[in-house]
Amino acid sequence: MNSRSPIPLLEIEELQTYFFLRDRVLKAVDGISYHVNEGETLAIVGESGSGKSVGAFSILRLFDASVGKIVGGSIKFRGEELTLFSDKEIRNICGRKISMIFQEPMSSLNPVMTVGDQISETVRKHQDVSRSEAKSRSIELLRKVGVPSPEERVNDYPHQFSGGMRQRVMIAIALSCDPDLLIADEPTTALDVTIQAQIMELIDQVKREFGTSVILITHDLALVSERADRVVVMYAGKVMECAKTIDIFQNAKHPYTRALLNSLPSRNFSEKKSQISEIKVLRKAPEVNLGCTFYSRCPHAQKNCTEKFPNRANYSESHYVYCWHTNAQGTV
Amino acid sequence: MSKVDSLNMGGEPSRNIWLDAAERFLGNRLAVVGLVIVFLFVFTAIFGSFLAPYDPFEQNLRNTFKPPNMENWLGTDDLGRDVLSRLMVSAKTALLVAFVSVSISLFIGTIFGLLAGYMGPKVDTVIMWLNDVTQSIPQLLLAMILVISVRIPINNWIDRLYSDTNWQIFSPTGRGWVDFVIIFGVLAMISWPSYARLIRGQVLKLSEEDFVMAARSVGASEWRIMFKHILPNAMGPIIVMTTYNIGTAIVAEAGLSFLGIGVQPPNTSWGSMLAQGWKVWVIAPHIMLAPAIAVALVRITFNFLGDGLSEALNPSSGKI
Repeated sequence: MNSRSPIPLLEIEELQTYFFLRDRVLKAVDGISYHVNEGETLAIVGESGSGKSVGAFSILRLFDASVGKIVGGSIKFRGEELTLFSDKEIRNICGRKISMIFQEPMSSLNPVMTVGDQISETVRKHQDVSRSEAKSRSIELLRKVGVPSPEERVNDYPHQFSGGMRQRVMIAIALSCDPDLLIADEPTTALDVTIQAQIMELIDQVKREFGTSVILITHDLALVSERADRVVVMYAGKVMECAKTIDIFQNAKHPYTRALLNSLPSRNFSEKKSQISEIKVLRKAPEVNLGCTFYSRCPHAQKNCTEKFPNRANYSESHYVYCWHTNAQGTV
Repeated sequence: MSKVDSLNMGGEPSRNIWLDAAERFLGNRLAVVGLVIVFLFVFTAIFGSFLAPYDPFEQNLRNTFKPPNMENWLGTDDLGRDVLSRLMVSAKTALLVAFVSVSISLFIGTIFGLLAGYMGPKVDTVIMWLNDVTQSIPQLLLAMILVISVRIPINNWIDRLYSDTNWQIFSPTGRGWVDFVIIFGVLAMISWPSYARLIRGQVLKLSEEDFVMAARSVGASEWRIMFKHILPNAMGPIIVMTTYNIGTAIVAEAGLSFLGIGVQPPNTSWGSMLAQGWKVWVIAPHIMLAPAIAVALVRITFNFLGDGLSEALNPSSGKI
């Protein structure tokens, strides 16, 4: 897979981000690997707490540094090893080369600063421009993301914007320095369906226009099927399966991926699918979990699953799975 | 009408959150009364020495202990000085002490609060420990101990400065300002913990907000996050507490001066006027009542103002 594509924009390998809590160590991300190619959209899906956000936040070290730590692995951005960067060097990349869009547009903007100031702040942090240049650039960005009459709106406060408009402002801030990689952390979860479509269309448009790569963190599989080029499926801090979008939806190998897809409501009401039932009720996980993290809920779990985390099984150049039994199930 | 405006979600032109707050504030009658009295107080404090009907220091031993009358509206004191004039001139002391000491404690408290909330658990522990120790000693007692223990060394030091420089402001007659500086410092020392505690709490709360992480994600420096994103969002509670604390500082200064360790003659203060009046309370109650009422009124007024601001600056307080 790596042999065919040129050097990926971002390459994460065996990344481990742990949180050292008072009484235990939370392995939020435990040895994940994935990469993002130039100009593609990589979707990261998984349920809450699967580590999909923490994995992406680790790129920019956006976690509480007093408890969280990257304990292992590497993050390569354009060939540069980000884990070796100082905090200050990371700050310089934030917003300029890699930006983020957050889940909650309602609370991701500072309520006491005008949106124009908030856009200008990023522009002026990374580019040597005057205050008025930054402001006209803010207006231009607001226009680009589809905020009507940006000349007036630039002086408005966040509470004067609707949720969808605020998310557009967030995108304007994220785009202000023309980044190479946009990390969208559930960008549409807090929005209603029509606005969701508009925002995703905007992100796609940005991607086409600027050639930006996108990491789309979501649990909305419909969104993934429409927008992503490739998909990484995560569960409990581990990657379960990674494949092109079409392979995930038509040829999923991992029991967890299949369970996820089966849990989607079907349009055909009469069709009785084994939906959520396939994901069993959580069994008590062993204290020291050496085996597969999905073991306790896996319908195909066998004894050897508890002994060692599965090795990577490649199906094709772009499709790989971490499961001991995929060969058997591939044809199920 | 304001309700209609806020429901009009369309392209209503810029409405600043501060304007909304001002509207809420003006809807609170008690707070507006408070604001008016505070303005009067500040005006009197600044222009009192010009407005005073008599010289506040002029003694007239043939006209002592006069109850309020047409010539001396608030009567005269034991040395025949006009009580109203003294009251007006003393307002300056109250205002000066209140604003300067509150500013100093606000400054110290803000710095310590930001550091405690932001620099991690070790700094937090040290600062909050200092905070707890300071707050565990009764305030007036601590103030007395501090005043008494610094006054003599400072005066000795200024004596030396005077003999070295021969400047008039260091001379025994020209150093009335030293009392003020001591009181500013002491009152700041006893009141900074309340700010530090408040601001620390706000910082801890606001650091969790999404917009702080969003600012970090675009590369804002920690200083910028602290002063541009966190502190402005904590402004509401800080303003409210400052208002209350001005009232508290005025009472504290009056207390110290009443005990004789605050502002020294010939400077006047409501506290020293009280001290003068209480001994003759039975024969001339007006000498004590005038400053007592002034202190109480200003204190209550600042509390009203604080309540009004607290309601106005807190959008979740229920009133629209």
